[in-house]
Amino acid sequence: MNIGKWIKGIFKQRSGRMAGVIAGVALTVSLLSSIGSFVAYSGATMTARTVRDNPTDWQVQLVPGTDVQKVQDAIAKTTAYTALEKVGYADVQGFQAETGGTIQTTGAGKVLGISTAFEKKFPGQIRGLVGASDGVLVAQQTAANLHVVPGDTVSIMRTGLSPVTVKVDGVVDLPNADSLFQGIGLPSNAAPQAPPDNILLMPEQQWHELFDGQATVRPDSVRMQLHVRIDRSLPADPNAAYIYVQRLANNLEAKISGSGIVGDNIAAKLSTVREDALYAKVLFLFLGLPGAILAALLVIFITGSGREHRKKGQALLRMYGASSAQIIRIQSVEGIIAGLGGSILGIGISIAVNNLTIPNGMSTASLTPAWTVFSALVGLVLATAAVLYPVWRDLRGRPALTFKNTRIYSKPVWQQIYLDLILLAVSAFEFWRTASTGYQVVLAPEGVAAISVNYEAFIAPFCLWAGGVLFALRIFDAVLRKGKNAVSGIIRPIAKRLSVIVSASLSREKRFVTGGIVLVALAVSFAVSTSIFNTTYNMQAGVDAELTNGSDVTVTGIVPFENGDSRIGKVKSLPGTSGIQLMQHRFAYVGNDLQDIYGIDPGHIGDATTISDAYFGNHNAAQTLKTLENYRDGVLVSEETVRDFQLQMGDTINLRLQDARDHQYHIVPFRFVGIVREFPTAPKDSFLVANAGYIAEKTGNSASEIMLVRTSGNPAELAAEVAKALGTADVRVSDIGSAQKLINSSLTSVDLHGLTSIELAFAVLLLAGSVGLVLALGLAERKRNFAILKTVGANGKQIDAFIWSEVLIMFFGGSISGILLGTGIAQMLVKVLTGVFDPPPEFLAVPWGYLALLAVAAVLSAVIASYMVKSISKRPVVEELRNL
Amino acid sequence: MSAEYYMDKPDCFIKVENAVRTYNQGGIRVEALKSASCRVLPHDRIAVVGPSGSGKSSLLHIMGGLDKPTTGSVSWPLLGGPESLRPGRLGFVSQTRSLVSSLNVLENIALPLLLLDHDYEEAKNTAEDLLRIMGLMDIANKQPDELSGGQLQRAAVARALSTRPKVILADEPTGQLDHTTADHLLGVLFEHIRDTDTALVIATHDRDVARRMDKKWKMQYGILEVEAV
Ligand SMILES: Nc1ncnc2c1ncn2[C@@H]1O[C@H](COP(=O)(O)OP(=O)(O)OP(=O)(O)O)[C@@H](O)[C@H]1O
Ligand SMILES: [Mg+2]
Repeated sequence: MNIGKWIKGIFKQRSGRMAGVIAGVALTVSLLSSIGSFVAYSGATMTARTVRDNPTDWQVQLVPGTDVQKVQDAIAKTTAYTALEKVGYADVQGFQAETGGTIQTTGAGKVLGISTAFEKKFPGQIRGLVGASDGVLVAQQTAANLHVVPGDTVSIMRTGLSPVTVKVDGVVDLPNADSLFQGIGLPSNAAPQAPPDNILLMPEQQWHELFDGQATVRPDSVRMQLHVRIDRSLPADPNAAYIYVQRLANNLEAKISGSGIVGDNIAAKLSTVREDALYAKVLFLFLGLPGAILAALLVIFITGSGREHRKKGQALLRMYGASSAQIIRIQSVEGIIAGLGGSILGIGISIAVNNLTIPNGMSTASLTPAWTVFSALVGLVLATAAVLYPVWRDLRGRPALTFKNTRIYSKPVWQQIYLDLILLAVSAFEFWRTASTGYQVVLAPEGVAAISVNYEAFIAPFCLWAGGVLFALRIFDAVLRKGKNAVSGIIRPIAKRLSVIVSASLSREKRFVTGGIVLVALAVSFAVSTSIFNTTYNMQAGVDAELTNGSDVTVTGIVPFENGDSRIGKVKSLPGTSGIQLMQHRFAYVGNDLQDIYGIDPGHIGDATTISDAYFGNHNAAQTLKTLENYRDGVLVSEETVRDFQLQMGDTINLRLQDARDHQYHIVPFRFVGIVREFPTAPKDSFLVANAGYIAEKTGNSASEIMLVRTSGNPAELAAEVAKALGTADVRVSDIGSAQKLINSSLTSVDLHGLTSIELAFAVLLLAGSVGLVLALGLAERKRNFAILKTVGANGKQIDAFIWSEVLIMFFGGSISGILLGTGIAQMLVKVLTGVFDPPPEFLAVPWGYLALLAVAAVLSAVIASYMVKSISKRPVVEELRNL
Repeated sequence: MSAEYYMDKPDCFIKVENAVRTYNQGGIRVEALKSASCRVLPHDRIAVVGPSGSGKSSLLHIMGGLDKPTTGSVSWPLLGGPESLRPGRLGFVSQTRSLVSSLNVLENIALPLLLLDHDYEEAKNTAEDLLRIMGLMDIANKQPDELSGGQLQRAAVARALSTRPKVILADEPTGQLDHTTADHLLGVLFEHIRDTDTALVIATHDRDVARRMDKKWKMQYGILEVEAV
């Protein structure tokens, strides 16, 4: 047997089918390897971003009396560090200050001794707010507690020594206080230590002068730490990077054993990031895999069609005396050629796609060899199996030229055991179970290197997907089998008098028609669920960023905005500004607890920022704001505060606010009217929201610290405009985009844009491909029937009735099932991934524009396919009639 | 008698003049029909005989308007243009399996009437009558791929009769039938057109079939030899 001739024959005779198989394999392979690249790329981005934003990697706490140089040498041997600074920590009994004739005293606090280089070497640890950025610096809340400003004096009540007085040079913010003051060496199951309320920083030398004495008297109250920025050439994958830095820290601890303990900030950060990365991986797989499966099904569909052709080829081979094994071997050549061609094409596509979607430099690195090889292998196996399976089935079946089929209808096994309904029930049950107990998709036990995905969470959407498709299959199968009258009713407008036999014909082609419906349904559901999920995800990432930033553009006044402040007018008149709201940000004592309090105009706050239902205890933003507006003295408090103070709706709650006239905190009665969980710019812990007018009246201060600006255009551009108009001396301007980059703790920070556009493009291709292929192949399969119809005397319109009825049933049957299924899956995915969203979305965002594009693509390919078939059926009928 | 004699007769169903049909098969020119001139008149009973590959099917396709002659002409003076032949005025029985595979036998037979926009019930009744006459009632609801070759041929003939056409062109309708069944089929055919002016043209290898026809046309190497009886 001449293989070369056979291959030539394949390409000549079956070029269309071969091209279809190659295209399908290419789609599968490129989808898989694109997902792979994206998993790798997003992981690498997450690692890089975490490392970049982490100010201090290690805080090595030294045992008193340790030789610092020795430890420093050990660190140098462990990692080629890029920054290392000594920091002194001293516990003090409190601080005291006298302002405006009164004396304020705080509780216990800490005094840090830092070198002048500290701020530069660890950028981000100290953020200057008012006054100088070196010298004696007071933390913001401490300054508020003591009512001090630069120039005032504060006395430090040292432990075991007499108080000393220092002059305040500046007020600062310590954004990383949590890690800066972490309890190093505590057992891993201990509750995290809250940072001290009162903090003062001073130059190293001064600190030694004041606290070396304390160290002698009370050695337990003074500690030295080495703050280190390690060599940051880490593995790109977050989990690998985590394991790497953890080993590094263990290594150091072993070297310096007994003289110090490592506070591993970088490992702690990477630990959360690896969870997010795993979330991302799971998400990408879940979003992308159905597409890959669909592409694979398409390949199988293509190879499964053309049975007549294949049979002829086999009969020919048998004539030459080929055995079954030889036929299989010859046919596998066809599979391998298609597999190789498809894989090469697919990898080429994904390289091109990566170059387009992944920012410069990362693209080649992110096409990981393992994923590429894996997806190519999948392509090869898919093509070979898809080509060989029908051949093998034919060969195993009845001798070559029998056409007799048993017509006794037997239900497929899955229908007999009600697999579809079982899957749907499992889906509903799993959904109910996991939804009622709350979701934990990624499991990361504290202190354990391995993290795992709770794949059970995906049982519900997967079962919905599989069960839904099978259920649609069952329904359409039953409709075509038993509901001929209904079908003929549906197609009557197209088929007219022929509707009865057209529907009869459809019923006989049931296997094929339902197969087509399922493929179309799968393609539509893939496109719909992916696009809805992605849009919702993007919307939610926006909400998340807005929650953090406050609004599109947020202006924080170091000098607050007074009523009629000229700066308000300046911002208002900028062309990009579409809404503007002032918001007070003060502090109030709830009992002994100092909380942030926000003064708003409830009726208009929505003009400048999104107030989501999820922010409030009653899940109703409109109603809560309305209530607040109705009660001038109303206040919204956190759940924790409600619990701590046993509050009932309408209770009076006495807060202490600072009065502008005497700078003292005075009691102001408020009325508890609701629970607030989150609010734009508010911290994650407890805070309060009240009417700005009431706060202004009671404190004699109507100024607002925050200006929220909404734009109809580009937030970054407006932020730049605002900064230009107001100058940067006494305001800070931030935009939502930069906030988005800062959000590091949640998955919504992962930029899905690249993947989204790939998936959406694939979805269009798959949908157009499925619709087109299913119709074209299926109808071509029956071109003989169309030829016969012509010899009997059917005119063009009548043949159209057959073609279009089938198109109509497959297209609409598939589309409707697909839309239902896709929406359901998107809904479920959003629910399953609730943990990803902060706050969770209130509704699914439907990308109408994209869906319209999809519809156009699908209709277009259906029309093209039908015309292709029509052009086939236009060929002289004699040719067709001569072929048996 | 010469072909020209026939040409002079007016008012025929089919008129073929100097038809030539050549195929191009892989660069080689195959002359399926070298020269054919003939006419089919009302009441004609014509057998087209000749060895396999002589061009019988090619001629019938041209006469049925399913194919066009490469040179020469074909026309249907009493029937109208090629578009108005089927379904209705001309019934064609093809040599190969020619039932629509997704329709059952009954639907296949009713098909021409449905294409003529007849009511479904009416078409079904006509089809049932024909099946009864053909003795095919028991396979009415079967699919074509469940039938034997002979059953398929008889069903195809029944379909050609369903519209009571003016001309029936049947290409080897008895090729797969035993003598008795073939005889019966012909009987039905003749019976069906008995009191009409319908013309019947059958291409056949079967001498018995040919003998029962009034005229015999001989086909040899693509050349048609028309003889009057
Ligand atoms: N599409 C085609 N391409 C090439 N050659 C063809 C084609 N159709 C028919 N022929 C050739 O034309 C010649 C006449 O064929 P035709 O089918 O008309 O013969 P026939 O008399 O009907 O034969 P049979 O009795 O076997 O049915 C044959 O040699 C055949 O091979
Ligand atoms: Mg023939």
